[in-house]
Amino acid sequence: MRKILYLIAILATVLATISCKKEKKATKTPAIVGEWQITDIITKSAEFAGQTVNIYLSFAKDKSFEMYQMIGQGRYRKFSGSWKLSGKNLSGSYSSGKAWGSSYIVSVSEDLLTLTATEGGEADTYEKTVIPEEIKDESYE
Amino acid sequence: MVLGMAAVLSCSRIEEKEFVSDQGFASALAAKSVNTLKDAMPSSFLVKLEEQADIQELLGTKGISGIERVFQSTPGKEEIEKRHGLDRWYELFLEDGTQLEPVAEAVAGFSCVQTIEFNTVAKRPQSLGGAVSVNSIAASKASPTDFSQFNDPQFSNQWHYINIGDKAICSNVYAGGDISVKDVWSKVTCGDPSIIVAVVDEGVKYTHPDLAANMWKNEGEIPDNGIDDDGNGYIDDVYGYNFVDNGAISWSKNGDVGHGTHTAGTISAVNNNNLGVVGIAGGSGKNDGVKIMSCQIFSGNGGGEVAQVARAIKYAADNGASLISCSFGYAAGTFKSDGAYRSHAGAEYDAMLAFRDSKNNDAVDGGIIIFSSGNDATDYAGYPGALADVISVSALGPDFLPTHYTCYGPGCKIAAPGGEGGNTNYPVGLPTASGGWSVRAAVLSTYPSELDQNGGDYAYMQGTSMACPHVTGVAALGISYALKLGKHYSVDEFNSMIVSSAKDIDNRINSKSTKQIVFNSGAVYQTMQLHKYYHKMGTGCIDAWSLMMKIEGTPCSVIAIGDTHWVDLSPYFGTSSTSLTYIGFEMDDASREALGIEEEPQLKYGRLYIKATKIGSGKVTINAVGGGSIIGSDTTIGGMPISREISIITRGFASSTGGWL
Repeated sequence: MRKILYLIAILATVLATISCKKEKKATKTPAIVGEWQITDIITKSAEFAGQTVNIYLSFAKDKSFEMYQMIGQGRYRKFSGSWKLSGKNLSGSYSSGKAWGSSYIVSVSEDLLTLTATEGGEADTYEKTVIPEEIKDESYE
Repeated sequence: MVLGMAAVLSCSRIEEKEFVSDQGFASALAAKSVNTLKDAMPSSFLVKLEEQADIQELLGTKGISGIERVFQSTPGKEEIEKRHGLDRWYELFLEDGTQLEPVAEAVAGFSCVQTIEFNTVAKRPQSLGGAVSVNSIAASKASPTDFSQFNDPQFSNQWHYINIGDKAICSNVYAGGDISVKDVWSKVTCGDPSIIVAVVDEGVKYTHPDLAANMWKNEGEIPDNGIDDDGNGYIDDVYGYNFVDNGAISWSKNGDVGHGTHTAGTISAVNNNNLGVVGIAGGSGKNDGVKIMSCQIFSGNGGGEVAQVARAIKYAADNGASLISCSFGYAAGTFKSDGAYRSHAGAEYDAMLAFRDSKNNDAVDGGIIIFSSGNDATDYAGYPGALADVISVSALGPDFLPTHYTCYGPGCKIAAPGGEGGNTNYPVGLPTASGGWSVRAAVLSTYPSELDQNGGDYAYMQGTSMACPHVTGVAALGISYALKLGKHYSVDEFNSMIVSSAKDIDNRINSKSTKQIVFNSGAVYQTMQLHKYYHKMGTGCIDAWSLMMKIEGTPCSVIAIGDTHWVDLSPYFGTSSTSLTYIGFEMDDASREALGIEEEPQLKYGRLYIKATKIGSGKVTINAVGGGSIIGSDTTIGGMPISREISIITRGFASSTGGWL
């Protein structure tokens, strides 16, 4: 009888563990997944005087990303590739295989995403958005 | 100063003693004439007076029957006319039977006469071998999906707009060997009816079913009433004017070849009208194409005189044209420097300067001048196209390689499809898979049915004459789009954008590259060596998409601080940017300070090498030669000066892809 109770206890523990794991997986969607628009750029030494930087980011669950950028003037240019999150460290590469210019320390607070570059410390803040279809349609690669 | 004024104001016969004694009056003519009697019209010649001189003093000269101003004065244009001396040009007509040279010698003796210019007729249209009726050619088998944008039935035969690599065009056709206009039509613009393009050429058939809706119309003129209703100096000039016959525009006289109607169609045949062909800036079918003004300088076997060309260009300037498309010129080699041409064709050049200064739209503050480079197959362009401040166009075939006839080298600024198809009059062209030359390798456009062997409205033609309107059409789209965006440019800025909007063609040419041309219905092949064209077809092939992106604005280049980085110049100067000749850059102190420039940047290998030490943004203006290695000048033939401004952002890091992350 003690043996049976012991087995039941083990089974319950295993089930609980599996259940916990499942629960943990279910809540593991990284907070960066979604669509974001840049709102602020803080550099350590200067502002980007006179130039407008427009960036839209889309991080997908399947670890792919799309980025639409317009720096200064012109038409939005589309980039794509993959991302990887290790703890708070976000890295990635473009579809050409080239790595991002820097990796980032990620901070998500409500609808704000802050990416702080490990190279140079530039901190870019993004807010949650829906990327306009017009920008997607009219961008070029 | 007072003595100088007195000399300018006086207009009297110069005594023979004022000249070196053994040269007499002939030396006065030699000193004042800018050209020779070769190819000169015998019945008249031109003079340009000194400032403030009075033409009345020449009236009594023996042998002169009449005097007319070369350029009619247009109300509101007096300042430009005066600036370029157009108010001082006169045409002197001779009495019947009078010898030209003695009268010109006598006129040269007047101190008030600054310049004498014989009315030469050496210019000619630059197409080869006449036209081939589209009705005699088998229909295209190209996939309709590639040409679904417009419903014009002959669109799929216009490889020069969308080249899908259809081997029915020729066996060595090159997919993508076109002007990259497809996405411009679908995403950017198809034209703007407020933009007027003057076709300076044979008369344009303004009743052509595929052109009529895109013809410029002078609303102030009542057709065929024999009255100058709008008072612009020209009677019944409804769709333009015939400067050869001083009357109605014509296109089917004996000697006409349909040249003007063909070039006009490439620029603005009406699109999406279920009829015929497509024009580059011909609209979307909603009456939004650019308008064609016919400035006729060839008629039958006549025309092409300096005075006619000069008047036609001024008419274009005075009546609203934003661009002139000029598929004609002197034979290559007639002049070897800008100075030689300018001093020969004074009235014509003065008219071009006036056109350049005439602002006829809100996007560009003057006129854009585009010429063909010539069909002489010489390693330099013909004038006027070779002038440094004029865009001249060389010709490519559907193989996206230089054609056998095109001029190349100094004076050629950019290239475009001109076609390379043979016909019975000119049995030379690119081969077909089944042997023989390909007719369809030429350019397809509108044509006067009166001249067509089958009475058709469309025909194939080839030449730098056909390449020229491709660039004109793209430039017209560019002005249309700039208007839409509310952008504004100087003429130099816009010319720079056109010439730097090019696709590289040199990457298809190496020291061993060749292409084959078929002679005489396939009986004889000739192998063309291509290395001589390397870096000599201007900046490459006109790229309509690239021009539109420049008009939208070129994004900043992003570089990292710390080390020396190179900036890719292709977004600014086109995909042949690494092979252009750069002549320097300018960077002001504020930009140097903002970016922390401590070492002088360098231009090498077709890139800008720069080392920034501070995070910020700045601008650099880079100067280059558009076509060739030197800029044309008084003593040389050469390229066009082009400048592009580059904005640079520096960060602590940067990706070589240009991506922000």
